[in-house]
Amino acid sequence: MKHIPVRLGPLALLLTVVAICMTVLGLLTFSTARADLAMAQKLAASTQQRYELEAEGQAFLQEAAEAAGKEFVTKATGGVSYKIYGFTQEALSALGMEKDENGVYWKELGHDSQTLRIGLDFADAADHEEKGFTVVCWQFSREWQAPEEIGGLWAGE
Amino acid sequence: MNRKQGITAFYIELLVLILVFLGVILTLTRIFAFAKEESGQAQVLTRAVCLAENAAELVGAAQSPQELLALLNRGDNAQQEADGGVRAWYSRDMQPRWDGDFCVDVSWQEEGRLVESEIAVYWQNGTEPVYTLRTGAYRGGDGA
Repeated sequence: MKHIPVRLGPLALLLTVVAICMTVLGLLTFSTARADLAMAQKLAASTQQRYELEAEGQAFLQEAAEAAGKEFVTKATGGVSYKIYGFTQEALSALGMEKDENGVYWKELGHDSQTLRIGLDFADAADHEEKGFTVVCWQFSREWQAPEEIGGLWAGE
Repeated sequence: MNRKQGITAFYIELLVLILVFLGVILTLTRIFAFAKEESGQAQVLTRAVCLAENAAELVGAAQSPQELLALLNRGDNAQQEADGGVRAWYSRDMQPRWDGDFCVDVSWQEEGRLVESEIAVYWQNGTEPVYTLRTGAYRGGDGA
Protein backbone atom coordinates (compact mmCIF):
# COMPACT_ATOMS: atom_id res chain seq x y z
CA MET A 1 0.00 0.00 0.00
CA LYS A 2 1.38 3.37 -1.00
CA HIS A 3 1.60 5.93 1.83
CA ILE A 4 0.53 9.51 0.88
CA PRO A 5 1.96 12.07 3.33
CA VAL A 6 -0.37 14.86 4.51
CA ARG A 7 1.39 18.21 4.30
CA LEU A 8 0.26 21.36 6.09
CA GLY A 9 2.05 23.80 3.80
CA PRO A 10 -0.74 24.28 1.21
CA LEU A 11 -3.42 24.26 3.93
CA ALA A 12 -1.57 26.93 5.93
CA LEU A 13 -1.18 29.02 2.79
CA LEU A 14 -4.90 28.72 2.01
CA LEU A 15 -5.91 29.70 5.55
CA THR A 16 -3.52 32.67 5.47
CA VAL A 17 -5.04 33.94 2.22
CA VAL A 18 -8.57 33.47 3.65
CA ALA A 19 -7.58 35.32 6.85
CA ILE A 20 -6.04 38.23 4.90
CA CYS A 21 -9.12 38.53 2.67
CA MET A 22 -11.45 38.51 5.66
CA THR A 23 -9.32 41.08 7.50
CA VAL A 24 -9.44 43.43 4.51
CA LEU A 25 -13.22 42.94 4.28
CA GLY A 26 -13.58 43.59 8.01
CA LEU A 27 -11.52 46.78 7.86
CA LEU A 28 -13.52 48.06 4.88
CA THR A 29 -16.81 47.33 6.67
CA PHE A 30 -15.57 49.06 9.80
CA SER A 31 -14.33 52.17 8.00
CA THR A 32 -17.57 52.44 5.99
CA ALA A 33 -19.69 52.19 9.15
CA ARG A 34 -17.52 54.77 10.88
CA ALA A 35 -17.81 57.14 7.92
CA ASP A 36 -21.61 56.63 7.91
CA LEU A 37 -21.81 57.60 11.56
CA ALA A 38 -19.53 60.61 11.09
CA MET A 39 -21.68 61.83 8.19
CA ALA A 40 -24.88 61.34 10.19
CA GLN A 41 -23.39 63.31 13.10
CA LYS A 42 -22.35 66.12 10.74
CA LEU A 43 -25.85 66.26 9.25
CA ALA A 44 -27.37 66.28 12.75
CA ALA A 45 -25.13 69.14 13.91
CA SER A 46 -25.74 71.16 10.76
CA THR A 47 -29.54 70.73 11.03
CA GLN A 48 -29.41 71.74 14.69
CA GLN A 49 -27.50 74.92 13.80
CA ARG A 50 -29.91 75.78 10.98
CA TYR A 51 -32.99 75.47 13.17
CA GLU A 52 -31.25 77.33 15.99
CA LEU A 53 -30.75 80.17 13.53
CA GLU A 54 -34.37 79.85 12.39
CA ALA A 55 -35.51 80.21 16.02
CA GLU A 56 -33.26 83.25 16.51
CA GLY A 57 -34.56 84.76 13.28
CA GLN A 58 -38.17 84.27 14.32
CA ALA A 59 -37.45 85.82 17.74
CA PHE A 60 -35.80 88.71 15.92
CA LEU A 61 -38.97 89.23 13.84
CA GLN A 62 -40.94 89.66 17.05
CA GLU A 63 -38.42 92.20 18.35
CA ALA A 64 -38.53 94.02 15.02
CA ALA A 65 -42.34 94.03 15.01
CA GLU A 66 -42.37 95.54 18.49
CA ALA A 67 -39.87 98.23 17.47
CA ALA A 68 -41.55 99.03 14.17
CA GLY A 69 -44.53 101.26 13.72
CA LYS A 70 -43.59 103.61 16.50
CA GLU A 71 -42.29 106.10 13.99
CA PHE A 72 -43.24 107.13 10.48
CA VAL A 73 -40.51 107.52 7.92
CA THR A 74 -40.78 109.19 4.54
CA LYS A 75 -40.35 107.00 1.53
CA ALA A 76 -40.18 108.24 -2.04
CA THR A 77 -41.15 105.96 -4.89
CA GLY A 78 -41.58 107.11 -8.49
CA GLY A 79 -41.36 110.79 -7.56
CA VAL A 80 -44.13 110.49 -4.96
CA SER A 81 -43.23 110.68 -1.30
CA TYR A 82 -45.39 109.22 1.39
CA LYS A 83 -45.07 108.30 5.01
CA ILE A 84 -44.85 104.67 6.01
CA TYR A 85 -44.09 102.82 9.19
CA GLY A 86 -40.45 102.12 9.83
CA PHE A 87 -37.67 101.93 12.38
CA THR A 88 -36.23 104.92 14.16
CA GLN A 89 -32.47 105.32 14.14
CA GLU A 90 -32.37 104.17 17.77
CA ALA A 91 -34.41 101.09 16.97
CA LEU A 92 -32.16 100.35 14.01
CA SER A 93 -29.02 100.45 16.12
CA ALA A 94 -30.69 98.51 18.94
CA LEU A 95 -31.70 95.77 16.51
CA GLY A 96 -28.37 95.89 14.70
CA MET A 97 -29.98 96.47 11.32
CA GLU A 98 -28.85 98.34 8.26
CA LYS A 99 -30.96 100.13 5.69
CA ASP A 100 -30.08 100.04 2.01
CA GLU A 101 -30.86 102.61 -0.73
CA ASN A 102 -34.14 100.81 -1.60
CA GLY A 103 -35.44 101.20 1.93
CA VAL A 104 -35.00 97.53 2.79
CA TYR A 105 -33.76 96.77 6.30
CA TRP A 106 -31.14 94.03 6.63
CA LYS A 107 -30.08 91.87 9.52
CA GLU A 108 -27.54 89.07 9.58
CA LEU A 109 -27.48 86.34 12.20
CA GLY A 110 -24.64 83.87 12.42
CA HIS A 111 -23.84 80.60 14.10
CA ASP A 112 -20.40 79.10 13.50
CA SER A 113 -20.15 78.85 9.72
CA GLN A 114 -23.89 79.29 9.00
CA THR A 115 -25.53 82.65 8.39
CA LEU A 116 -29.13 83.79 8.11
CA ARG A 117 -29.75 87.00 6.18
CA ILE A 118 -33.08 88.66 6.82
CA GLY A 119 -34.53 91.48 4.73
CA LEU A 120 -37.54 93.51 5.90
CA ASP A 121 -39.47 95.95 3.76
CA PHE A 122 -42.23 98.34 4.74
CA ALA A 123 -43.07 99.28 1.15
CA ASP A 124 -46.30 97.30 0.98
CA ALA A 125 -47.20 98.13 4.56
CA ALA A 126 -48.51 101.52 3.45
CA ASP A 127 -51.49 99.69 1.94
CA HIS A 128 -52.10 97.81 5.15
CA GLU A 129 -54.28 99.18 7.88
CA GLU A 130 -52.02 97.80 10.57
CA LYS A 131 -48.36 98.54 11.01
CA GLY A 132 -46.24 95.79 9.56
CA PHE A 133 -43.41 94.75 7.34
CA THR A 134 -42.87 92.13 4.71
CA VAL A 135 -40.03 89.65 4.90
CA VAL A 136 -38.38 90.04 1.52
CA CYS A 137 -35.36 87.84 2.24
CA TRP A 138 -34.83 84.82 4.47
CA GLN A 139 -31.63 83.25 3.25
CA PHE A 140 -29.38 80.67 4.86
CA SER A 141 -25.81 80.42 3.69
CA ARG A 142 -22.71 78.56 4.75
CA GLU A 143 -19.06 79.44 4.44
CA TRP A 144 -17.16 77.52 1.82
CA GLN A 145 -14.55 75.29 3.40
CA ALA A 146 -11.76 74.40 1.03
CA PRO A 147 -10.95 70.71 1.03
CA GLU A 148 -7.85 69.91 3.02
CA GLU A 149 -4.72 68.74 1.27
CA ILE A 150 -3.92 65.11 1.87
CA GLY A 151 -0.21 64.53 2.11
CA GLY A 152 0.60 66.81 -0.82
CA LEU A 153 -1.30 64.64 -3.30
CA TRP A 154 -2.06 66.00 -6.75
CA ALA A 155 -5.44 67.78 -6.59
CA GLY A 156 -6.27 66.99 -10.20
CA GLU A 157 -5.86 70.53 -11.49
CA MET B 1 11.17 7.03 16.23
CA ASN B 2 11.40 9.50 13.35
CA ARG B 3 7.90 8.66 12.22
CA LYS B 4 6.53 9.31 15.74
CA GLN B 5 8.29 12.68 15.93
CA GLY B 6 6.93 13.59 12.52
CA ILE B 7 3.36 12.83 13.60
CA THR B 8 3.76 14.90 16.80
CA ALA B 9 5.15 17.85 14.82
CA PHE B 10 2.25 17.54 12.39
CA TYR B 11 -0.34 17.72 15.19
CA ILE B 12 1.39 20.65 16.88
CA GLU B 13 1.55 22.53 13.59
CA LEU B 14 -2.13 21.79 12.91
CA LEU B 15 -3.09 22.95 16.41
CA VAL B 16 -1.17 26.20 16.03
CA LEU B 17 -2.77 26.79 12.64
CA ILE B 18 -6.26 26.21 14.00
CA LEU B 19 -5.63 28.46 17.01
CA VAL B 20 -4.31 31.30 14.84
CA PHE B 21 -7.25 30.97 12.49
CA LEU B 22 -9.71 30.95 15.40
CA GLY B 23 -8.04 34.08 16.81
CA VAL B 24 -8.44 35.85 13.46
CA ILE B 25 -12.09 34.77 13.22
CA LEU B 26 -12.86 35.97 16.76
CA THR B 27 -11.20 39.35 16.20
CA LEU B 28 -13.01 39.81 12.91
CA THR B 29 -16.34 38.87 14.51
CA ARG B 30 -15.85 41.66 17.03
CA ILE B 31 -14.94 44.12 14.26
CA PHE B 32 -18.03 43.15 12.24
CA ALA B 33 -20.24 43.45 15.34
CA PHE B 34 -18.79 46.88 16.14
CA ALA B 35 -19.28 48.00 12.53
CA LYS B 36 -22.90 46.83 12.63
CA GLU B 37 -23.52 48.73 15.85
CA GLU B 38 -22.04 51.95 14.44
CA SER B 39 -24.00 51.56 11.23
CA GLY B 40 -27.18 51.07 13.27
CA GLN B 41 -26.44 54.21 15.28
CA ALA B 42 -25.97 56.16 12.05
CA GLN B 43 -29.32 54.90 10.72
CA VAL B 44 -31.16 55.81 13.92
CA LEU B 45 -29.57 59.28 14.04
CA THR B 46 -30.34 60.03 10.38
CA ARG B 47 -33.98 59.02 10.85
CA ALA B 48 -34.23 60.98 14.10
CA VAL B 49 -32.94 64.11 12.34
CA CYS B 50 -35.50 63.64 9.58
CA LEU B 51 -38.39 63.15 12.04
CA ALA B 52 -37.29 66.19 14.08
CA GLU B 53 -37.13 68.30 10.91
CA ASN B 54 -40.64 67.20 9.91
CA ALA B 55 -41.94 68.13 13.36
CA ALA B 56 -40.16 71.50 13.25
CA GLU B 57 -41.79 72.35 9.93
CA LEU B 58 -45.19 71.39 11.34
CA VAL B 59 -44.60 73.69 14.34
CA GLY B 60 -44.06 76.49 11.81
CA ALA B 61 -47.27 75.58 10.00
CA ALA B 62 -49.55 75.13 13.04
CA GLN B 63 -51.34 78.03 14.70
CA SER B 64 -52.09 76.21 17.96
CA PRO B 65 -51.10 73.04 19.84
CA GLN B 66 -54.41 71.48 18.76
CA GLU B 67 -53.59 72.18 15.13
CA LEU B 68 -50.13 70.70 15.66
CA LEU B 69 -51.76 67.55 17.04
CA ALA B 70 -54.07 67.39 14.03
CA LEU B 71 -51.09 67.75 11.68
CA LEU B 72 -49.00 65.11 13.46
CA ASN B 73 -51.77 62.62 14.11
CA ARG B 74 -52.01 59.88 11.51
CA GLY B 75 -53.94 56.83 12.65
CA ASP B 76 -53.80 57.63 16.37
CA ASN B 77 -50.00 57.84 16.55
CA ALA B 78 -50.00 61.15 18.43
CA GLN B 79 -51.39 62.53 21.65
CA GLN B 80 -51.59 65.88 23.39
CA GLU B 81 -49.52 66.30 26.54
CA ALA B 82 -50.65 68.11 29.67
CA ASP B 83 -48.16 70.95 29.09
CA GLY B 84 -49.58 71.65 25.63
CA GLY B 85 -46.93 69.72 23.74
CA VAL B 86 -47.54 66.80 21.45
CA ARG B 87 -46.00 63.32 21.50
CA ALA B 88 -46.01 61.17 18.36
CA TRP B 89 -44.69 57.69 17.57
CA TYR B 90 -43.17 56.38 14.37
CA SER B 91 -41.95 53.02 13.15
CA ARG B 92 -38.35 52.26 12.12
CA ASP B 93 -39.17 53.23 8.54
CA MET B 94 -40.61 56.54 9.83
CA GLN B 95 -44.24 55.66 9.26
CA PRO B 96 -46.80 56.90 11.81
CA ARG B 97 -47.44 54.00 14.17
CA TRP B 98 -48.75 54.10 17.75
CA ASP B 99 -46.37 51.32 18.89
CA GLY B 100 -43.39 52.57 16.90
CA ASP B 101 -39.76 52.64 18.03
CA PHE B 102 -39.31 56.38 17.56
CA CYS B 103 -41.00 58.79 19.94
CA VAL B 104 -41.07 62.46 18.96
CA ASP B 105 -41.74 64.89 21.78
CA VAL B 106 -42.71 68.39 20.63
CA SER B 107 -43.00 71.14 23.23
CA TRP B 108 -45.06 74.29 22.63
CA GLN B 109 -44.29 77.56 24.42
CA GLU B 110 -46.14 80.64 23.34
CA GLU B 111 -44.85 84.09 24.21
CA GLY B 112 -46.95 86.75 22.59
CA ARG B 113 -46.89 85.97 18.90
CA LEU B 114 -43.73 83.90 19.14
CA VAL B 115 -43.92 80.14 19.52
CA GLU B 116 -40.80 78.37 20.74
CA SER B 117 -40.54 74.63 20.52
CA GLU B 118 -38.05 71.99 21.50
CA ILE B 119 -38.26 68.69 19.69
CA ALA B 120 -36.73 65.60 21.26
CA VAL B 121 -36.56 62.23 19.48
CA TYR B 122 -36.29 59.07 21.59
CA TRP B 123 -35.41 55.59 20.37
CA GLN B 124 -36.99 52.45 21.81
CA ASN B 125 -38.30 54.02 25.02
CA GLY B 126 -34.85 55.38 25.94
CA THR B 127 -34.61 58.00 28.65
CA GLU B 128 -32.04 60.11 26.79
CA PRO B 129 -33.07 61.62 23.45
CA VAL B 130 -31.02 60.57 20.45
CA TYR B 131 -31.58 64.00 18.91
CA THR B 132 -32.96 67.38 19.93
CA LEU B 133 -33.90 70.38 17.86
CA ARG B 134 -34.94 73.87 18.95
CA THR B 135 -37.04 75.98 16.65
CA GLY B 136 -39.39 78.94 16.70
CA ALA B 137 -42.16 80.53 14.68
CA TYR B 138 -43.40 84.09 14.70
CA ARG B 139 -47.08 84.61 13.89
CA GLY B 140 -46.83 88.05 12.35
CA GLY B 141 -50.26 88.67 10.93
CA ASP B 142 -49.05 91.96 9.46
CA GLY B 143 -47.41 90.40 6.52
CA ALA B 144 -44.38 89.60 8.61
